Amino acid sequence: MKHAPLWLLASFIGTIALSSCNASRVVSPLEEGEWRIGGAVGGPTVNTSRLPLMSVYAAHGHSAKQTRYTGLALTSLGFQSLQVDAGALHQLIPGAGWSPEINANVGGNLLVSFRDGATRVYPHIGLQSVWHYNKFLPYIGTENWIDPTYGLVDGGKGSLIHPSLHSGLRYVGRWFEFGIEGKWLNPTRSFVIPQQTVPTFLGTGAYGLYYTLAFRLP
Amino acid sequence: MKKFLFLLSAASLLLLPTSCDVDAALLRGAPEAYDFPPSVPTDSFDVDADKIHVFQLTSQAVPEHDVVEAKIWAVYVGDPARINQDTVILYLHGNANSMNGFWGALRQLANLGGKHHYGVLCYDYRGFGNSDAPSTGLYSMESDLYAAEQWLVDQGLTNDRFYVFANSLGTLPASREAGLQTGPLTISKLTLESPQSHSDLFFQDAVGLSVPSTLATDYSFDLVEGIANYEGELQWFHGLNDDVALVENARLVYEAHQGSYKEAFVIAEVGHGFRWDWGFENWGNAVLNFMRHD
Repeated sequence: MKHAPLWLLASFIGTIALSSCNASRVVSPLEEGEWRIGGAVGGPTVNTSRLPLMSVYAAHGHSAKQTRYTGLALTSLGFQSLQVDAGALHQLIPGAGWSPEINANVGGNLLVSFRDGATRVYPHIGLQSVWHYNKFLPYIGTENWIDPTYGLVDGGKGSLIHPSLHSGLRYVGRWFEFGIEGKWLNPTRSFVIPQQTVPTFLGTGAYGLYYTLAFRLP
Repeated sequence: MKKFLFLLSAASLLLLPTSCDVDAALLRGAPEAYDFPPSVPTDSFDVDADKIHVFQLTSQAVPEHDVVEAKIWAVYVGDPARINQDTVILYLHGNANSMNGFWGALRQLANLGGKHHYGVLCYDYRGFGNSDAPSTGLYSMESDLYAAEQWLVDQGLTNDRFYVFANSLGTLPASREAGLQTGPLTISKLTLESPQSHSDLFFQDAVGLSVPSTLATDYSFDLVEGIANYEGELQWFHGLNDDVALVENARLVYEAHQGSYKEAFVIAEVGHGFRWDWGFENWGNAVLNFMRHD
């Protein structure tokens, strides 16, 4: 039959919700002792729709140069799975004038199925280049997920590194932070969603758009 | 911070009971009036009006897997009184609203080797057509399959005259049963048309990561395992242009088969609508030759 099975789209929603689709938790170190608690919504584009993936997170300025963060993917909970991420952002080079601040983030992502306890851990490592213009922080960066169990994918289709590139803007006010981030997901491969169109960027990967809102707690 | 943890817990508790599962979308049938005309202008596979029988079957409950009893609809093309003598093809259809969409294939199968040479049975899984809803995965589909097989046994069918043709979604219950052989009939001749492979690979194709399918669905199908345990004859149809069930994945299923005989038709410039793209005549000849293979 030539019927287009819509189940495939739903399947994709279920799975993509469990992949590397989050906005950057933090892009620049928080003030020492500061808490920032927020949420993110957004996701990759499939056909002409953007998947509404939601997550919440908390970040804490451990020191002037290091911020620790953790997040929970709410959409994954809806699919009876736990997806949490945690990590730390370190300032490598302070910014000055037109020179951006360079930060590195290192962390991991834990996925656990409530159905059968199947568990996966994907470490991630990234870099952020951030400029500070008053309360605005434009930035570009990359995040790379590492799949240590890529050998479990049949047919040699797995890969160790899953990169993404992103660019965004954060507004950091006195009480809250607002952000928007565009992401080029996994430019090294194509997303195979049968009978669905995943728009590519420059002919590969997928792209997504995310919004973040966080409250600042001193 | 306490407020945040409270809100987080509340959000989690709100989301957990929603229990999204892709099963419901994966098994996507829809009610529609059955339409089985004896002939259609676009082909020559006419059948006699008195050999079209639409009826209900009772699909049993499987309490240990939360599957309830259900009434499912079936169509038999042929003379039910001759099932104790005829060879019968059980057609497990693909993912469409109902078996309406496969009526052309059913009529062609009935006429392979001569008009009404074979009896053909097809049924709608739970949630498809006017069958009770919903299908929930491995066990509801298994129960539906057993109901169809039991009806054939009750009419006098024996294993030696039983042939299964499974298309796309239908390859999931067919392959599982071919490996288990726990139903009322034993499958010894099976055609898989445009099959998937296993649920993990299906999900992994979508994201690239080594994610298990159980992160998003209860329906953990595994055609590779089923066919690896199947000892009978296997025929595989697949189009190289199939963008629904990727041929490299389906090949894993074919390669897993260690049974008595197998043959493959992997055809260029053919998509998921294998029969349409390859041509009715090619398709019919291949099926007939396989059925007659000793």
